[in-house]
Amino acid sequence: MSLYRIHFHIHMKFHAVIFICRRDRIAVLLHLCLGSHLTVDPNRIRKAFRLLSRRQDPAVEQFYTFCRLIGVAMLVSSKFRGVAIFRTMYFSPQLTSMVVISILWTVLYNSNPNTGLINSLLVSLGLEPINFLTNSKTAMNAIIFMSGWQGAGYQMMIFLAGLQGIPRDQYEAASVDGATRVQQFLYITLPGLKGTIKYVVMITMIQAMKLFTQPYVMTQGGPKNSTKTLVYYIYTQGFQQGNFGYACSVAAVFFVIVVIMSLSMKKLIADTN
Amino acid sequence: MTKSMKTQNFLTKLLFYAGNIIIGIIFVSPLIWMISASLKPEAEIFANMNSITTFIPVQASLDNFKEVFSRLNMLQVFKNTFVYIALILVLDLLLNSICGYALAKFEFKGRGMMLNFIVALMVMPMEAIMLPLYIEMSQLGWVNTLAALVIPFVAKCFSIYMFRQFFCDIPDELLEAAALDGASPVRTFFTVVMPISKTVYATVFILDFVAHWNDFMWPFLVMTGENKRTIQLAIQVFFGTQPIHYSAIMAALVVSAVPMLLMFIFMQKYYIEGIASSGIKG
Repeated sequence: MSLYRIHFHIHMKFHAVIFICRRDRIAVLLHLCLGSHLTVDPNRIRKAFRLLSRRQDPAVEQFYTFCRLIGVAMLVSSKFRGVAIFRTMYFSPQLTSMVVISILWTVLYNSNPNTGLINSLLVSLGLEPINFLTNSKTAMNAIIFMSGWQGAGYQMMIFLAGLQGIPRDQYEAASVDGATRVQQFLYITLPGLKGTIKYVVMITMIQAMKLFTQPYVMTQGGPKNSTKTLVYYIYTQGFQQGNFGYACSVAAVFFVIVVIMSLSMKKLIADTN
Repeated sequence: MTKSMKTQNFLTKLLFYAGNIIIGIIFVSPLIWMISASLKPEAEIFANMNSITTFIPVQASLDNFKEVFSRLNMLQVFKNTFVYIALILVLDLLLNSICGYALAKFEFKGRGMMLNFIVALMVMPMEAIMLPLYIEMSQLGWVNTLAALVIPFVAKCFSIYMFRQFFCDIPDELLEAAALDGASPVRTFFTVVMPISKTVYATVFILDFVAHWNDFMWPFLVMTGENKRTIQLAIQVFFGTQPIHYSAIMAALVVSAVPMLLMFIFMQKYYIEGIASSGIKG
């Protein structure tokens, strides 16, 4: 009887945890982890994109950052005057802490167009003001955009280090053979950055899994639990409601997810090199 | 150079500058707004939101900073933060470099296993162990003491790994020469190895300084006393304390960013190097 109860208990916990983790997020993670090191399967990618666009999740963050960052890194790696200034500009959000950023953007995101900078901009452009942090549909996206803004400088630096690892003579050989800029980018830069891209994507996803400060400072997990992340859930269960045992088992699942992600990252990068 | 090539060059240049300036403005404008709001009187911040003057403090004054220092007990907060970070950094640089040196240069049983263990532990997320660690701290009676902030974070797998990688490149001949001159391994470490390894010490120093200066979650869990708060905790509490003056809040944010800015200006090279090397090694 007691054995059955223990089994039942574990079973329930497991289900609760899986529910909290959100089925789709795990699916997306698995897709990204397993999908990208097999051959490219259009169906799989389409499916992953569909999942990603349906959910507002930290996992989406890496797509935003990835698309933007590769552009930013390309822009600042060129040999033009004033490149250092632009690099410093992109890196500047990195010089403030997450708490500072969260407080600043809570003020910027204010839903009243008279006090929120972003909404006043929207209104002056003739658009409707948006309740960024008080609407459950936009709250997570607002946090994702902000975190992407802050992390961009860090990722840019990693991309720049990766770009410097691509031998210059490859570009020279290509331009002698008459390759255009776009072709050079597609056939030299992108393959050369493969390892870096994988690293940045994985490290951003792991960081997104650890999301805590932003929901704590900006939304307290609300509205309607839309910004309640795994770590925030561990915190509320363990420290606010005193369910230490339950919170620890959620933490254990969280740990397993992060370890799987880290290990697959190591394997992906080892495959590339 | 033909005419079409010239126009193409001009177009590339135009595209480069236009793109960078637009993205650059998006990136820095929130920070500029923060600084400008910290210098304005409270009534002025939300006036003229649509014009460019929202980014320019027309009547700049330091009153907001005075308010922050009078309401927040900034000196105590800075003292708390710096004592905690200084303690961690001294122990971190000393112990982890010694450990990294042993793993790089000494032959002993189980060295490979230890190294694997350290690399494996690098993936351990702090968030997963925060609860058990907190329970441990509270049973030791360390909650609200400096020990809870410092002791769990002295040994860092990433620092050990960085030190080890650097020390591996030091030629053995140098150490053998020191040993022939009669220096003990301990003396060799402090008088020969340390002085030639300034770059790796600087890199670990800046990375850990930034990490701990920005750390919010762990101090938030273990330091609940009002006069024990670190800087991040203090500004977070200040954000929710009545009366809410946004200009003063912005001033507090600016104050908390100043040490990071100074660190960056003086140690930019090592910081960038640290980020880049963490990216390359994975």
